[in-house]
Amino acid sequence: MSDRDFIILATILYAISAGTLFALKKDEHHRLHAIRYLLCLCGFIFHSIFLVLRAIDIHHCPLTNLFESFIFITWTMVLIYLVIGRTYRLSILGLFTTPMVVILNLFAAISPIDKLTTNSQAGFWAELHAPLAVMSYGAFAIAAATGAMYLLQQFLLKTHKITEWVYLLPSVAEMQKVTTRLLLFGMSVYTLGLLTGFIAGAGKGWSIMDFKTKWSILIWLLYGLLFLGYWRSWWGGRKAAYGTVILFCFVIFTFWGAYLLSPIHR
Amino acid sequence: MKFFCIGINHHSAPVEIREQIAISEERYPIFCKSALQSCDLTEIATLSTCNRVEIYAVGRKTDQPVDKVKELLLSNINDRRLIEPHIFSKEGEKAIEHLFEVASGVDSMIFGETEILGQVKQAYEKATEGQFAGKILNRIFQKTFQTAKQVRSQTNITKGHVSVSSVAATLAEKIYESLDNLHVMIIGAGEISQKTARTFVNRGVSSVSIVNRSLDRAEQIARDLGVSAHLLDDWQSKALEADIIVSSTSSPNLLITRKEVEDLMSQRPGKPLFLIDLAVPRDIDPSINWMDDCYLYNIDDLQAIADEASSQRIMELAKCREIIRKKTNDLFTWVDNNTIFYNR
Repeated sequence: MSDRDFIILATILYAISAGTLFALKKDEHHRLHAIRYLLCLCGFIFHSIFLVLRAIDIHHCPLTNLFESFIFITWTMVLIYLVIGRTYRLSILGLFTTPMVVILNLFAAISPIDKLTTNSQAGFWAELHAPLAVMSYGAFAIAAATGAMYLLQQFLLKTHKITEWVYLLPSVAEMQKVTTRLLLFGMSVYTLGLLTGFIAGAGKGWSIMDFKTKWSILIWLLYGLLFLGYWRSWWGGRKAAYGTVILFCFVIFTFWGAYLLSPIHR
Repeated sequence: MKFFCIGINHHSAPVEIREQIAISEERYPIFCKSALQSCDLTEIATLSTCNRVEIYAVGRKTDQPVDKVKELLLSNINDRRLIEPHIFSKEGEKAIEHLFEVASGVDSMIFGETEILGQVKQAYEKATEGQFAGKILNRIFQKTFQTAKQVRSQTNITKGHVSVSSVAATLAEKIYESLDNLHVMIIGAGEISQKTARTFVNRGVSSVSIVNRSLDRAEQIARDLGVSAHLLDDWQSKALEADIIVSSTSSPNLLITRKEVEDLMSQRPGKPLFLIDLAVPRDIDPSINWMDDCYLYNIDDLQAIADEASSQRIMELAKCREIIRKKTNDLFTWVDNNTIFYNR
């Protein structure tokens, strides 16, 4: 059994968990929430086994190529869901998280991106920089999920469509609070990731003109602006929620390009 | 021994009849003691709510306990001919089924309401405390609570909210984190305003203020509810603190315009506002619903949600009855096997 088989197993479990969406009308939400959570937990265990096996195999934090990066991002997403789903009683968040995780895992699994890289002897700061940066993407992904949940709940309340979903989703204020905290967490970790990246790059031929560095600074500025907007209520809840979704889509769709255009990250 | 129930409820009599037969707290122990002594009963429990006065009792099969309890119920009534036709009675299996339906909310005026189970529990506790209940009633009431719980958990009988004010309170819970820290402003002092104010007070909001053209009227209602009263002219300053604004005035024109709410929202950034327009003609500009962080519902919107919940609950009736019938048969078989009571 190769390490990649564990990712396939994990993805199947996440997909089944996401599939409970279709059983929503069965009036057994509490049991479904528990099943969904349990499936995610099992998937997470397999997901973690992959990362451990890969780390043992390459003797590094498994973030040496694009495949590993995507798998690490989705691992962080599931970890955050498992933690905040319990803390904030947001078990419904699983329905928004697992489909994203399944898509990203499938994309990573079928793309020819799991290649051995020559740039894996990067040192302590780089070993710290990469997981911190990736962890923040996980937080931004979950913030995008809570933002999407906010938009759905707001749409239903404004259009007076009081369906099953209104009762299943948390209140708009709760989702706004969770999104703000996720953005704060993501921004803090991302800032640390950037700083450790600067330290790691110093003296190794790194330049601020490196494409991924410029891209990362742009992302930091955009998320910083979004977080400040949330925190200081510069714009209404709807625009802010759209911001979390659009900005994360931008990150995920440009991540590959930024990676490929940066020799120091490849 | 025979188990039976006798009484009057919202199906059998209007409120002016029901109120004449009500058993007050003071009269309760006297009534039970005299029923046990003079009506050949061995056990008795009485359920007295605004919609029903029902007596559940166990009597000796050789006597006529049902007729005797009926006489006792009518003993204090001046014109018994008015009341007598409204009294109903059920015996044995039918009586058990009736009690199960009552406790499950199937027999309630608001189908599926849950308050009744608490009232049935109270009736049983009072009977136990007064030593009016024994082995048979204990068994029957315990089974009643189990059945009611099963009906609630296995059907959608309690799902959704079926009154306009409770729908409004539930929607508020979907906008804000909790109702505990919310400030509610009620504009108008009519009946519907009072009802809504009471619902929010009962749901535990932080504060309620009544705003009205006539301060005297507002103060009168505010005193009853233990809330504050203000003049209508002050509504905009009061609205700055409010999370929920309920308007129910008889004003022929719009009372709250979009411009006013835009000004209000600019002074309280990031704070959602829930507006409930219960007036006909409407008090609040409908376009406000499309402003960011504003949620507006009018009386028709809330009524439609309540009606939908009611119809969904009623669709569960067959499922409820199936559970109740099965449970009734089980209990009656047990009773029969234990030869505790027989049909007359």
